[in-house]
Amino acid sequence: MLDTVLQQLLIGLTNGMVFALVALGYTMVYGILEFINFAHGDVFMLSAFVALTLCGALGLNEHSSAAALAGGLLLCIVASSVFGGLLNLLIDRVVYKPLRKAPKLAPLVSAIGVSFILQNVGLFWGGMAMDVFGGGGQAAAPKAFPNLLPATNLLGATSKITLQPKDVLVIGASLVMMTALYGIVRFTKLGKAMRATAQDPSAARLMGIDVDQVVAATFLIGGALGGFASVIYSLYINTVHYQMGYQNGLYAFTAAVVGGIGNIPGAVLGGLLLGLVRAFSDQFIGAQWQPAVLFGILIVILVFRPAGLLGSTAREKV
Amino acid sequence: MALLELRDVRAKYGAIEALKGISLTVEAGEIVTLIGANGAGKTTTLTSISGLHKPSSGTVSFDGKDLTAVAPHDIVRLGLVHSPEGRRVFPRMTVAENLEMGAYTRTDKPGILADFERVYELFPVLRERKLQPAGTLSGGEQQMLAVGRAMMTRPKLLLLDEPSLGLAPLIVARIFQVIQTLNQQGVTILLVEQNARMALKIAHRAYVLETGEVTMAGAAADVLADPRVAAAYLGE
Repeated sequence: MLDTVLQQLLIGLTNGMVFALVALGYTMVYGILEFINFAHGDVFMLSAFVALTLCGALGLNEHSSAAALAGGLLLCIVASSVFGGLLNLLIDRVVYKPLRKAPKLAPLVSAIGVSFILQNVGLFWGGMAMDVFGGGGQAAAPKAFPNLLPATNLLGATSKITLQPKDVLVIGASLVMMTALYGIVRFTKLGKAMRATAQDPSAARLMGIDVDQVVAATFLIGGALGGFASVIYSLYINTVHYQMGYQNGLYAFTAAVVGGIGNIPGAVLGGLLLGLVRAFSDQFIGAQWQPAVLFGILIVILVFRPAGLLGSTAREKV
Repeated sequence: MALLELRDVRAKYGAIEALKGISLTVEAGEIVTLIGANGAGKTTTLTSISGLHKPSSGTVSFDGKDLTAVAPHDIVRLGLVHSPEGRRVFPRMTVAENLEMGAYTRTDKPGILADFERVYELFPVLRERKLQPAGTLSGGEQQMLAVGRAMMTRPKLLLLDEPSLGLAPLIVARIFQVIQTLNQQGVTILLVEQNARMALKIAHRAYVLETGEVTMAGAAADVLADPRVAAAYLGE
């Protein structure tokens, strides 16, 4: 029993870390623009395709040397993070920026549109006749992502709890990224400008902050976090699929709202909570009930804390 | 040449014309005040200068440079800062971080540190609360922070919008004292105030605004003594 609980705790934690990383992208953009970038999940998905394609181009699989795998993994992480960041920035410049002063529904609907367009790109990408995709043909089929890390149990082959190197990578790398983000937002000039812009864009302008630049940096960082998350997620579940951004994006968005939208620690908390509830619900209630249990609990949380767990409804002194 | 010159500035919100051709000048070293009723266009005059609301026509020149095509965040670098109505401090940032944002465009570390000291000496309460989120300060303290934050930009010209709004008389007196001190230290000030009597007492010159137009201009003492002004704005 204890083994089961610990195992689910681990599964929940790893999944939660991925949700948290993606949730950060939603929450950072919302914090500054009060706008939900619904295409964020699909930036995550396409970034996974970048990693998958790289693995294919480099011919990486379980039989590659340890050095090649480590190098390949690092390259995938860098390439997908850069790609995710740049794609997110491009989407903002081309689609959202012209709508900055438009009624709020206009960029929202555009974001949903971009989401569908990116899914189509993913479908097309998956249909390309590449060996790594199984020679093409089945565009919509999930593509196998190679095991870049050995599938050994770090706790020993006889242990009832499975802890693989990829689990360690997911948790460790996520913690590093979150700490780095926290450091940037808390201590750097850019981070302070981001907070100032989120709290009062007009006042930020009057202090000489180029708000447009801050917004660009936000999309870049959020996209890069999503790209990074896509690699560790693909490694974790070993498949890439053109709709993987839709579901994970929705979960991550929910995590951001439950944590308190616009609040960075809240996104992490919401992501972890979502991952844990999901894991325990799958184990003790049944996977077929996952969405109902998960969203049921989240609704209850929001009923009691409408602004999210760390969101503030308290009015500031004027 | 005047430090700041507005020539026939018009500004619109949709179809409503808030400024119907404002012309005014501020000379280096002066305190100039803009007085007028709510909706006369005082705040819009300031936002037209700082670039938050670009004029629909007319020119704004500062230090010989035309500002109408300059972005607000670049205007700060020229030495013109606008401390907006309602303080607008960053509520979830600490007092020290707020002041740091004032120095955002600067890179002269020693100068910035010296200006932190200058602000803390002028407003000792800000030093005591430097690690406190600005949103937890009282209204008066927030106003001091807003002025301090503007000072951190090292402005030649400070635009102050309603610094006395909603504050207790003692605090108001303190704020006006600081405005005079800053002016004596060489900062030129354009002051918008509801509290016309206080503003006219510390200003060198004054403009009276009515529904988007300048209806009276002159030395502050003359404006203060004008019976029309007394009747309309001084409650006499």
